[in-house]
Amino acid sequence: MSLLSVEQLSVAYGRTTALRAASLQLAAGEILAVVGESGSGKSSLARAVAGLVKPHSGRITLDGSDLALRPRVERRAIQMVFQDPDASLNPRHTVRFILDEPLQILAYGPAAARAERIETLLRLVQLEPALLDRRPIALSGGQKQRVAIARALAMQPRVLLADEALSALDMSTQSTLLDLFASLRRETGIAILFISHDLAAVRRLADRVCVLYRGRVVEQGDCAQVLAAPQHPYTKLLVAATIDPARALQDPAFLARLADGVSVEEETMQ
Amino acid sequence: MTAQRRLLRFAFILLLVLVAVALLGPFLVARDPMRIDLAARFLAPLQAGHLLGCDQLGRDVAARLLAGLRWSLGIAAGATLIAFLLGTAIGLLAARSRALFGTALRQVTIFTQSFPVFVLAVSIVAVIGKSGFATLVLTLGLVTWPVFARVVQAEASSLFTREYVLAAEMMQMGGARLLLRHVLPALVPSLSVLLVFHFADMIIAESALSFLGIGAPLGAATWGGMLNESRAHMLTAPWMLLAPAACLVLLVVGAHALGQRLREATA
Repeated sequence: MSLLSVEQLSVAYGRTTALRAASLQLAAGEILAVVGESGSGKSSLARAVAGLVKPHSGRITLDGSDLALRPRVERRAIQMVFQDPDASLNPRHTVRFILDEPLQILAYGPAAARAERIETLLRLVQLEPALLDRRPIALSGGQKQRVAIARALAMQPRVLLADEALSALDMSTQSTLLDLFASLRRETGIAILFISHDLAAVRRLADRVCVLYRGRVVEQGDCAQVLAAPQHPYTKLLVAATIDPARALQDPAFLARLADGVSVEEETMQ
Repeated sequence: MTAQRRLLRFAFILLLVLVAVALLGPFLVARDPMRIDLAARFLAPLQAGHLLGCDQLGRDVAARLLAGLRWSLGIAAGATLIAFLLGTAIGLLAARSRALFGTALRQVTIFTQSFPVFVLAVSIVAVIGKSGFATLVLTLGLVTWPVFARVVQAEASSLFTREYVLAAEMMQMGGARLLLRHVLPALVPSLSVLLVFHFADMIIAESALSFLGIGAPLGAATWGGMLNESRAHMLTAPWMLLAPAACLVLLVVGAHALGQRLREATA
Protein backbone atom coordinates (compact mmCIF):
# COMPACT_ATOMS: atom_id res chain seq x y z
CA MET A 1 0.00 0.00 0.00
CA SER A 2 1.32 3.44 -0.87
CA LEU A 3 2.02 5.95 1.87
CA LEU A 4 0.31 8.88 0.17
CA SER A 5 -2.41 8.45 -2.37
CA VAL A 6 -4.05 11.20 -4.38
CA GLU A 7 -7.24 10.04 -6.02
CA GLN A 8 -9.12 11.96 -8.70
CA LEU A 9 -8.13 15.26 -7.14
CA SER A 10 -9.49 18.48 -8.65
CA VAL A 11 -8.67 21.99 -7.50
CA ALA A 12 -10.50 25.07 -8.70
CA TYR A 13 -10.08 28.78 -7.98
CA GLY A 14 -13.45 30.27 -8.74
CA ARG A 15 -14.25 29.24 -12.29
CA THR A 16 -10.66 28.35 -13.12
CA THR A 17 -9.83 24.69 -12.73
CA ALA A 18 -6.14 24.29 -11.89
CA LEU A 19 -6.08 20.53 -11.38
CA ARG A 20 -8.40 17.99 -13.04
CA ALA A 21 -8.92 14.54 -11.56
CA ALA A 22 -5.23 13.98 -10.82
CA SER A 23 -4.23 10.66 -9.28
CA LEU A 24 -0.84 9.56 -8.05
CA GLN A 25 0.76 7.39 -5.40
CA LEU A 26 3.84 7.93 -3.29
CA ALA A 27 5.44 5.02 -1.47
CA ALA A 28 7.39 5.32 1.79
CA GLY A 29 10.96 6.43 1.13
CA GLU A 30 10.22 7.18 -2.51
CA ILE A 31 10.98 10.36 -4.42
CA LEU A 32 8.25 11.17 -6.90
CA ALA A 33 8.80 14.13 -9.19
CA VAL A 34 5.90 16.13 -10.55
CA VAL A 35 6.87 18.02 -13.67
CA GLY A 36 5.09 20.34 -16.06
CA GLU A 37 5.17 23.88 -17.35
CA SER A 38 4.03 26.92 -15.38
CA GLY A 39 0.27 26.77 -14.84
CA SER A 40 0.12 23.02 -15.29
CA GLY A 41 -1.24 22.55 -11.75
CA LYS A 42 1.92 21.41 -9.94
CA SER A 43 1.68 23.92 -7.10
CA SER A 44 -2.08 23.45 -6.80
CA LEU A 45 -1.45 19.74 -6.36
CA ALA A 46 1.18 20.42 -3.69
CA ARG A 47 -1.02 22.92 -1.84
CA ALA A 48 -4.00 20.59 -1.88
CA VAL A 49 -1.87 17.75 -0.49
CA ALA A 50 -0.50 20.17 2.12
CA GLY A 51 -4.03 21.16 3.14
CA LEU A 52 -3.48 24.78 2.15
CA VAL A 53 -6.23 24.75 -0.47
CA LYS A 54 -9.46 22.81 -0.31
CA PRO A 55 -9.88 20.36 -3.17
CA HIS A 56 -12.97 20.72 -5.30
CA SER A 57 -13.29 16.96 -5.49
CA GLY A 58 -11.27 13.79 -4.97
CA ARG A 59 -9.46 12.59 -1.91
CA ILE A 60 -6.02 12.38 -0.37
CA THR A 61 -5.15 9.44 1.83
CA LEU A 62 -2.22 8.89 4.12
CA ASP A 63 -1.68 5.26 5.08
CA GLY A 64 -5.11 4.55 3.63
CA SER A 65 -6.93 7.11 5.82
CA ASP A 66 -8.74 9.96 4.10
CA LEU A 67 -7.05 13.11 5.43
CA ALA A 68 -10.27 15.12 5.09
CA LEU A 69 -11.90 12.82 7.64
CA ARG A 70 -8.99 12.72 10.08
CA PRO A 71 -8.07 15.28 12.77
CA ARG A 72 -6.07 18.17 11.34
CA VAL A 73 -3.05 17.37 13.52
CA GLU A 74 -2.51 14.27 11.39
CA ARG A 75 -1.60 16.59 8.54
CA ARG A 76 1.60 17.35 10.44
CA ALA A 77 2.92 14.20 8.77
CA ILE A 78 3.08 16.23 5.56
CA GLN A 79 5.39 19.24 5.50
CA MET A 80 6.45 21.53 2.72
CA VAL A 81 9.48 23.45 1.49
CA PHE A 82 8.42 26.46 -0.54
CA GLN A 83 9.84 28.05 -3.65
CA ASP A 84 10.91 31.44 -2.32
CA PRO A 85 13.58 31.15 0.39
CA ASP A 86 13.17 34.85 1.26
CA ALA A 87 9.46 34.48 2.05
CA SER A 88 9.79 31.07 3.71
CA LEU A 89 11.27 32.30 6.97
CA ASN A 90 9.86 34.96 9.29
CA PRO A 91 12.39 37.81 9.01
CA ARG A 92 11.86 38.76 12.68
CA HIS A 93 12.95 35.42 14.10
CA THR A 94 16.37 33.86 14.52
CA VAL A 95 17.20 30.44 13.08
CA ARG A 96 17.11 29.05 16.62
CA PHE A 97 13.58 30.38 17.16
CA ILE A 98 12.45 29.14 13.74
CA LEU A 99 13.65 25.61 14.50
CA ASP A 100 12.50 25.62 18.12
CA GLU A 101 8.93 26.64 17.28
CA PRO A 102 7.87 23.34 15.66
CA LEU A 103 9.48 21.44 18.52
CA GLN A 104 7.46 23.46 21.01
CA ILE A 105 4.30 22.73 19.04
CA LEU A 106 5.14 19.03 19.13
CA ALA A 107 5.82 19.32 22.89
CA TYR A 108 9.15 17.70 22.10
CA GLY A 109 10.50 18.15 25.60
CA PRO A 110 12.42 20.54 27.84
CA ALA A 111 14.69 23.24 26.44
CA ALA A 112 17.81 21.06 26.63
CA ALA A 113 16.18 18.25 24.63
CA ARG A 114 14.96 20.72 22.05
CA ALA A 115 18.40 22.30 21.76
CA GLU A 116 19.89 18.86 21.15
CA ARG A 117 17.26 18.15 18.50
CA ILE A 118 17.99 21.48 16.82
CA GLU A 119 21.65 20.51 16.57
CA THR A 120 20.67 17.18 15.02
CA LEU A 121 18.46 18.98 12.51
CA LEU A 122 21.28 21.34 11.60
CA ARG A 123 23.59 18.36 11.01
CA LEU A 124 20.94 16.74 8.80
CA VAL A 125 20.74 19.80 6.56
CA GLN A 126 24.50 20.41 6.79
CA LEU A 127 24.37 23.81 8.45
CA GLU A 128 26.79 25.22 11.01
CA PRO A 129 25.49 25.79 14.59
CA ALA A 130 27.06 29.25 14.35
CA LEU A 131 24.08 30.29 12.23
CA LEU A 132 21.59 29.68 15.01
CA ASP A 133 21.50 33.23 16.27
CA ARG A 134 21.27 34.83 12.84
CA ARG A 135 18.12 36.19 11.29
CA PRO A 136 17.15 35.16 7.76
CA ILE A 137 18.45 38.42 6.29
CA ALA A 138 21.97 37.31 7.26
CA LEU A 139 21.66 33.97 5.40
CA SER A 140 22.26 33.08 1.76
CA GLY A 141 19.43 31.67 -0.36
CA GLY A 142 20.78 28.14 0.01
CA GLN A 143 21.15 28.50 3.78
CA LYS A 144 17.59 29.81 4.04
CA GLN A 145 16.30 26.84 2.09
CA ARG A 146 18.24 24.47 4.35
CA VAL A 147 16.70 26.13 7.41
CA ALA A 148 13.26 25.73 5.79
CA ILE A 149 14.02 22.04 5.22
CA ALA A 150 15.19 21.65 8.82
CA ARG A 151 12.01 23.35 10.07
CA ALA A 152 9.92 20.94 8.01
CA LEU A 153 11.93 17.97 9.32
CA ALA A 154 11.45 19.17 12.91
CA MET A 155 7.79 18.14 12.60
CA GLN A 156 8.97 14.56 11.93
CA PRO A 157 6.99 14.34 8.69
CA ARG A 158 6.56 11.21 6.63
CA VAL A 159 6.09 13.15 3.42
CA LEU A 160 8.07 16.21 2.36
CA LEU A 161 6.65 18.39 -0.40
CA ALA A 162 9.32 20.37 -2.22
CA ASP A 163 7.45 22.89 -4.34
CA GLU A 164 9.98 24.31 -6.81
CA ALA A 165 12.30 24.43 -3.82
CA LEU A 166 15.40 24.85 -5.96
CA SER A 167 14.20 27.20 -8.67
CA ALA A 168 15.18 30.43 -6.91
CA LEU A 169 18.74 29.23 -6.27
CA ASP A 170 21.92 29.34 -8.33
CA MET A 171 23.13 26.19 -10.11
CA SER A 172 25.77 25.14 -7.59
CA THR A 173 23.38 25.60 -4.66
CA GLN A 174 20.73 23.64 -6.54
CA SER A 175 23.20 20.83 -6.98
CA THR A 176 24.12 20.68 -3.28
CA LEU A 177 20.46 20.77 -2.27
CA LEU A 178 19.68 17.91 -4.67
CA ASP A 179 22.35 15.91 -2.87
CA LEU A 180 20.80 16.97 0.43
CA PHE A 181 17.34 15.69 -0.58
CA ALA A 182 18.90 12.39 -1.64
CA SER A 183 20.79 12.05 1.65
CA LEU A 184 17.69 12.96 3.67
CA ARG A 185 15.77 10.19 1.99
CA ARG A 186 18.63 7.77 2.76
CA GLU A 187 19.02 8.83 6.38
CA THR A 188 15.40 9.39 7.42
CA GLY A 189 13.43 7.28 4.97
CA ILE A 190 11.19 10.23 4.22
CA ALA A 191 9.08 10.22 1.07
CA ILE A 192 9.50 13.30 -1.11
CA LEU A 193 7.10 14.80 -3.62
CA PHE A 194 9.53 16.84 -5.68
CA ILE A 195 7.80 19.45 -7.77
CA SER A 196 9.95 20.99 -10.45
CA HIS A 197 10.13 22.12 -14.04
CA ASP A 198 13.82 21.21 -14.20
CA LEU A 199 14.08 17.82 -15.87
CA ALA A 200 17.82 17.59 -15.23
CA ALA A 201 17.20 17.85 -11.47
CA VAL A 202 14.33 15.39 -11.72
CA ARG A 203 16.46 12.91 -13.67
CA ARG A 204 19.14 13.10 -10.99
CA LEU A 205 16.89 12.79 -7.95
CA ALA A 206 13.56 11.09 -8.60
CA ASP A 207 12.60 7.42 -8.65
CA ARG A 208 9.38 8.05 -10.52
CA VAL A 209 7.97 10.99 -12.43
CA CYS A 210 4.46 12.27 -12.98
CA VAL A 211 3.86 14.68 -15.87
CA LEU A 212 1.14 17.30 -15.54
CA TYR A 213 -0.26 19.19 -18.48
CA ARG A 214 -3.09 21.71 -18.17
CA GLY A 215 -4.10 20.27 -14.81
CA ARG A 216 -4.18 16.65 -15.95
CA VAL A 217 -1.73 13.81 -15.29
CA VAL A 218 -0.73 12.82 -18.81
CA GLU A 219 2.00 10.33 -18.01
CA GLN A 220 3.68 8.76 -15.01
CA GLY A 221 6.10 5.98 -14.37
CA ASP A 222 9.71 5.13 -13.69
CA CYS A 223 11.75 8.33 -14.03
CA ALA A 224 14.53 7.00 -16.25
CA GLN A 225 12.03 5.17 -18.45
CA VAL A 226 9.64 8.09 -18.92
CA LEU A 227 12.42 10.55 -19.69
CA ALA A 228 14.19 8.12 -22.04
CA ALA A 229 11.09 7.04 -23.93
CA PRO A 230 8.25 9.48 -23.34
CA GLN A 231 4.87 8.30 -24.59
CA HIS A 232 2.65 11.36 -24.41
CA PRO A 233 3.26 14.12 -27.00
CA TYR A 234 3.55 16.75 -24.25
CA THR A 235 6.17 14.71 -22.38
CA LYS A 236 8.07 14.31 -25.65
CA LEU A 237 8.04 18.10 -26.12
CA LEU A 238 9.10 18.64 -22.52
CA VAL A 239 12.01 16.22 -22.84
CA ALA A 240 12.99 17.61 -26.23
CA ALA A 241 13.07 21.14 -24.80
CA THR A 242 15.87 20.25 -22.39
CA ILE A 243 19.38 19.11 -23.05
CA ASP A 244 20.74 16.15 -21.19
CA PRO A 245 24.49 16.88 -21.32
CA ALA A 246 25.47 13.23 -20.96
CA ARG A 247 23.28 12.17 -23.87
CA ALA A 248 24.02 15.23 -25.99
CA LEU A 249 27.75 14.59 -25.87
CA GLN A 250 27.10 11.11 -27.30
CA ASP A 251 25.20 12.61 -30.24
CA PRO A 252 27.50 13.13 -33.29
CA ALA A 253 25.10 15.66 -34.88
CA PHE A 254 25.14 17.76 -31.72
CA LEU A 255 28.91 17.65 -31.50
CA ALA A 256 29.18 18.64 -35.16
CA ARG A 257 26.94 21.65 -34.63
CA LEU A 258 29.00 22.70 -31.63
CA ALA A 259 32.15 22.38 -33.73
CA ASP A 260 30.53 24.71 -36.28
CA GLY A 261 30.37 27.38 -33.64
CA VAL A 262 26.77 26.99 -32.40
CA SER A 263 26.73 27.84 -28.71
CA VAL A 264 25.15 25.58 -26.12
CA GLU A 265 22.58 28.32 -25.42
CA GLU A 266 21.58 28.48 -29.10
CA GLU A 267 21.42 24.71 -29.21
CA THR A 268 19.14 24.72 -26.20
CA MET A 269 16.86 27.26 -27.86
CA GLN A 270 16.45 24.94 -30.87
CA MET B 1 19.78 68.41 9.94
CA THR B 2 17.19 69.92 7.56
CA ALA B 3 14.70 72.57 8.67
CA GLN B 4 11.91 70.00 8.26
CA ARG B 5 13.66 67.54 10.53
CA ARG B 6 14.28 70.26 13.13
CA LEU B 7 10.60 71.17 13.02
CA LEU B 8 9.62 67.54 13.40
CA ARG B 9 11.91 67.10 16.37
CA PHE B 10 10.56 70.27 17.95
CA ALA B 11 6.95 69.11 17.45
CA PHE B 12 7.76 65.71 18.89
CA ILE B 13 9.33 67.20 22.01
CA LEU B 14 6.38 69.57 22.28
CA LEU B 15 3.97 66.66 22.27
CA LEU B 16 5.90 64.96 25.04
CA VAL B 17 5.88 68.19 27.06
CA LEU B 18 2.11 68.57 26.61
CA VAL B 19 1.51 65.01 27.76
CA ALA B 20 3.76 65.59 30.78
CA VAL B 21 1.94 68.84 31.57
CA ALA B 22 -1.41 67.04 31.37
CA LEU B 23 -0.22 64.42 33.82
CA LEU B 24 1.29 66.96 36.20
CA GLY B 25 -1.52 69.53 35.69
CA PRO B 26 -3.02 69.53 39.20
CA PHE B 27 0.45 70.07 40.68
CA LEU B 28 1.30 72.91 38.27
CA VAL B 29 -1.88 74.96 38.71
CA ALA B 30 -3.63 74.40 41.98
CA ARG B 31 -6.72 76.47 41.11
CA ASP B 32 -10.12 74.82 40.57
CA PRO B 33 -10.95 75.14 36.85
CA MET B 34 -14.66 75.32 37.66
CA ARG B 35 -14.50 77.96 40.40
CA ILE B 36 -16.37 81.12 39.44
CA ASP B 37 -15.02 84.44 40.73
CA LEU B 38 -17.04 87.30 39.31
CA ALA B 39 -14.56 89.82 40.75
CA ALA B 40 -11.89 88.37 38.43
CA ARG B 41 -13.95 88.50 35.18
CA PHE B 42 -11.79 89.13 32.08
CA LEU B 43 -8.69 89.50 34.21
CA ALA B 44 -5.70 89.83 31.86
CA PRO B 45 -2.80 87.35 31.97
CA LEU B 46 -0.16 87.66 34.70
CA GLN B 47 -2.47 89.60 36.99
CA ALA B 48 -3.42 88.59 40.53
CA GLY B 49 -1.55 85.32 40.16
CA HIS B 50 -3.52 84.20 37.08
CA LEU B 51 -0.87 83.14 34.55
CA LEU B 52 -3.19 83.18 31.51
CA GLY B 53 -5.85 85.46 32.92
CA CYS B 54 -9.52 84.70 33.60
CA ASP B 55 -12.59 84.18 31.44
CA GLN B 56 -16.01 85.85 31.42
CA LEU B 57 -16.97 84.10 34.68
CA GLY B 58 -13.65 84.76 36.40
CA ARG B 59 -12.48 81.15 36.01
CA ASP B 60 -8.73 80.66 35.73
CA VAL B 61 -7.84 80.08 32.03
CA ALA B 62 -4.62 78.18 32.83
CA ALA B 63 -6.43 75.77 35.16
CA ARG B 64 -9.17 75.25 32.55
CA LEU B 65 -6.56 74.76 29.84
CA LEU B 66 -4.85 72.00 31.82
CA ALA B 67 -8.17 70.38 32.71
CA GLY B 68 -9.13 70.57 29.02
CA LEU B 69 -5.81 69.00 28.04
CA ARG B 70 -6.43 66.05 30.36
CA TRP B 71 -9.98 65.73 29.01
CA SER B 72 -8.84 65.84 25.37
CA LEU B 73 -5.93 63.44 25.86
CA GLY B 74 -8.10 61.03 27.85
CA ILE B 75 -10.87 60.95 25.26
CA ALA B 76 -8.47 60.73 22.32
CA ALA B 77 -6.52 57.92 23.98
CA GLY B 78 -9.66 56.00 25.00
CA ALA B 79 -11.37 56.37 21.62
CA THR B 80 -8.18 55.42 19.79
CA LEU B 81 -7.78 52.34 21.99
CA ILE B 82 -11.36 51.20 21.34
CA ALA B 83 -11.09 51.84 17.59
CA PHE B 84 -7.73 50.05 17.51
CA LEU B 85 -8.91 46.95 19.40
CA LEU B 86 -12.22 46.66 17.56
CA GLY B 87 -10.80 47.52 14.13
CA THR B 88 -7.83 45.17 14.51
CA ALA B 89 -10.04 42.28 15.63
CA ILE B 90 -12.54 42.80 12.80
CA GLY B 91 -9.76 43.36 10.25
CA LEU B 92 -8.03 40.12 11.27
CA LEU B 93 -11.32 38.20 11.16
CA ALA B 94 -12.13 39.60 7.73
CA ALA B 95 -8.68 38.68 6.45
CA ARG B 96 -8.79 35.21 7.95
CA SER B 97 -12.33 34.24 6.96
CA ARG B 98 -12.29 33.28 3.32
CA ALA B 99 -15.95 32.62 2.79
CA LEU B 100 -19.17 34.55 3.24
CA PHE B 101 -18.35 35.73 6.77
CA GLY B 102 -15.18 37.50 5.63
CA THR B 103 -17.01 39.17 2.76
CA ALA B 104 -19.79 40.28 5.13
CA LEU B 105 -17.25 41.78 7.54
CA ARG B 106 -15.55 43.65 4.72
CA GLN B 107 -18.88 45.03 3.55
CA VAL B 108 -19.82 46.11 7.10
CA THR B 109 -16.48 47.92 7.34
CA ILE B 110 -17.00 49.70 4.02
CA PHE B 111 -20.60 50.56 4.93
CA THR B 112 -19.60 52.01 8.32
CA GLN B 113 -16.77 53.99 6.78
CA SER B 114 -19.06 55.46 4.14
CA PHE B 115 -20.75 57.65 6.79
CA PRO B 116 -19.04 60.94 7.68
CA VAL B 117 -17.49 60.26 11.08
CA PHE B 118 -18.45 63.59 12.58
CA VAL B 119 -22.10 63.42 11.53
CA LEU B 120 -22.33 59.86 12.81
CA ALA B 121 -20.76 60.80 16.16
CA VAL B 122 -23.09 63.79 16.62
CA SER B 123 -26.10 61.59 15.81
CA ILE B 124 -25.06 58.88 18.25
CA VAL B 125 -24.38 61.33 21.10
CA ALA B 126 -27.74 63.02 20.37
CA VAL B 127 -29.56 59.68 20.40
CA ILE B 128 -27.89 58.56 23.63
CA GLY B 129 -28.82 61.94 25.10
CA LYS B 130 -26.25 61.60 27.85
CA SER B 131 -23.06 63.57 27.89
CA GLY B 132 -19.84 62.63 29.59
CA PHE B 133 -16.38 61.18 29.19
CA ALA B 134 -17.49 57.58 28.64
CA THR B 135 -20.13 58.56 26.06
CA LEU B 136 -17.60 60.48 23.99
CA VAL B 137 -14.92 57.79 24.23
CA LEU B 138 -17.34 55.04 23.21
CA THR B 139 -18.94 57.07 20.43
CA LEU B 140 -15.70 58.19 18.83
CA GLY B 141 -14.22 54.70 19.20
CA LEU B 142 -17.26 52.99 17.72
CA VAL B 143 -17.51 55.26 14.67
CA THR B 144 -13.83 55.20 13.73
CA TRP B 145 -12.86 51.50 14.01
CA PRO B 146 -13.14 50.95 10.22
CA VAL B 147 -9.95 52.99 9.75
CA PHE B 148 -8.02 50.26 11.57
CA ALA B 149 -10.09 47.41 10.13
CA ARG B 150 -9.35 48.41 6.52
CA VAL B 151 -5.58 48.65 7.08
CA VAL B 152 -5.36 45.45 9.15
CA GLN B 153 -7.52 43.49 6.71
CA ALA B 154 -5.42 44.60 3.73
CA GLU B 155 -2.08 43.83 5.37
CA ALA B 156 -3.15 40.65 7.13
CA SER B 157 -4.69 39.24 3.92
CA SER B 158 -1.28 39.54 2.34
CA LEU B 159 0.50 38.14 5.41
CA PHE B 160 -1.74 35.07 5.55
CA THR B 161 -0.45 34.08 2.11
CA ARG B 162 3.22 34.54 3.09
CA GLU B 163 5.06 31.25 2.99
CA TYR B 164 6.31 31.40 6.58
CA VAL B 165 2.71 31.78 7.73
CA LEU B 166 1.67 28.86 5.52
CA ALA B 167 4.51 26.81 7.03
CA ALA B 168 3.19 27.68 10.51
CA GLU B 169 -0.29 26.60 9.42
CA MET B 170 1.10 23.29 8.21
CA MET B 171 2.48 22.71 11.70
CA GLN B 172 -1.16 23.08 12.84
CA MET B 173 -0.06 25.97 15.04
CA GLY B 174 -2.88 27.37 17.19
CA GLY B 175 -4.63 30.48 15.91
CA ALA B 176 -3.58 32.69 18.84
CA ARG B 177 0.05 31.64 18.54
CA LEU B 178 0.02 32.21 14.78
CA LEU B 179 -1.37 35.72 15.27
CA LEU B 180 0.93 36.67 18.13
CA ARG B 181 4.14 35.31 16.65
CA HIS B 182 3.76 35.74 12.92
CA VAL B 183 0.97 38.14 11.99
CA LEU B 184 0.61 40.89 14.61
CA PRO B 185 4.36 41.69 14.88
CA ALA B 186 4.39 42.35 11.14
CA LEU B 187 1.50 44.79 11.56
CA VAL B 188 3.22 46.85 14.27
CA PRO B 189 4.93 49.39 11.95
CA SER B 190 1.79 50.44 10.08
CA LEU B 191 -0.45 50.21 13.15
CA SER B 192 1.84 52.41 15.24
CA VAL B 193 1.75 55.13 12.56
CA LEU B 194 -2.00 54.81 12.25
CA LEU B 195 -2.45 54.97 16.04
CA VAL B 196 -0.67 58.30 16.27
CA PHE B 197 -2.55 59.88 13.34
CA HIS B 198 -5.83 58.55 14.67
CA PHE B 199 -5.04 60.02 18.09
CA ALA B 200 -4.56 63.45 16.46
CA ASP B 201 -7.84 63.05 14.57
CA MET B 202 -9.63 62.19 17.82
CA ILE B 203 -8.27 65.34 19.50
CA ILE B 204 -9.77 67.40 16.66
CA ALA B 205 -13.06 65.44 16.71
CA GLU B 206 -13.45 65.84 20.48
CA SER B 207 -12.70 69.57 20.28
CA ALA B 208 -15.19 70.01 17.46
CA LEU B 209 -17.89 68.20 19.43
CA SER B 210 -17.13 70.24 22.55
CA PHE B 211 -17.21 73.42 20.47
CA LEU B 212 -20.75 72.50 19.45
CA GLY B 213 -21.62 71.75 23.06
CA ILE B 214 -22.03 68.03 22.39
CA GLY B 215 -20.59 65.37 24.61
CA ALA B 216 -19.03 67.31 27.47
CA PRO B 217 -21.11 68.04 30.60
CA LEU B 218 -22.28 71.64 31.04
CA GLY B 219 -19.50 73.92 32.28
CA ALA B 220 -16.79 71.26 31.92
CA ALA B 221 -13.37 72.59 30.97
CA THR B 222 -12.75 71.52 27.37
CA TRP B 223 -10.73 73.25 24.68
CA GLY B 224 -13.63 73.18 22.24
CA GLY B 225 -15.92 74.66 24.87
CA MET B 226 -13.35 77.34 25.75
CA LEU B 227 -13.04 78.29 22.06
CA ASN B 228 -16.79 78.53 21.76
CA GLU B 229 -17.10 80.75 24.86
CA SER B 230 -14.25 83.00 23.73
CA ARG B 231 -15.86 83.88 20.39
CA ALA B 232 -17.99 86.65 21.89
CA HIS B 233 -14.98 88.20 23.66
CA MET B 234 -12.16 87.66 21.18
CA LEU B 235 -11.53 91.38 20.73
CA THR B 236 -11.78 92.37 24.38
CA ALA B 237 -10.20 89.28 25.96
CA PRO B 238 -8.14 87.58 23.20
CA TRP B 239 -6.24 85.41 25.74
CA MET B 240 -9.43 83.41 26.19
CA LEU B 241 -9.18 82.39 22.51
CA LEU B 242 -5.44 82.30 21.99
CA ALA B 243 -4.56 79.94 24.83
CA PRO B 244 -6.82 76.96 23.86
CA ALA B 245 -6.36 77.57 20.11
CA ALA B 246 -2.56 77.57 20.39
CA CYS B 247 -2.59 74.45 22.58
CA LEU B 248 -4.94 72.62 20.20
CA VAL B 249 -2.76 73.43 17.19
CA LEU B 250 0.41 72.45 19.02
CA LEU B 251 -1.01 69.15 20.23
CA VAL B 252 -2.34 68.13 16.80
CA VAL B 253 0.80 69.25 14.98
CA GLY B 254 2.93 67.43 17.55
CA ALA B 255 0.94 64.21 17.10
CA HIS B 256 1.15 64.47 13.30
CA ALA B 257 4.87 65.11 13.51
CA LEU B 258 5.28 61.99 15.63
CA GLY B 259 3.21 60.00 13.13
CA GLN B 260 5.34 61.32 10.29
CA ARG B 261 8.55 60.36 12.07
CA LEU B 262 7.22 56.88 12.78
CA ARG B 263 6.18 56.51 9.13
CA GLU B 264 9.67 57.50 7.99
CA ALA B 265 11.29 55.18 10.52
CA THR B 266 9.19 52.17 9.50
CA ALA B 267 9.25 52.81 5.73
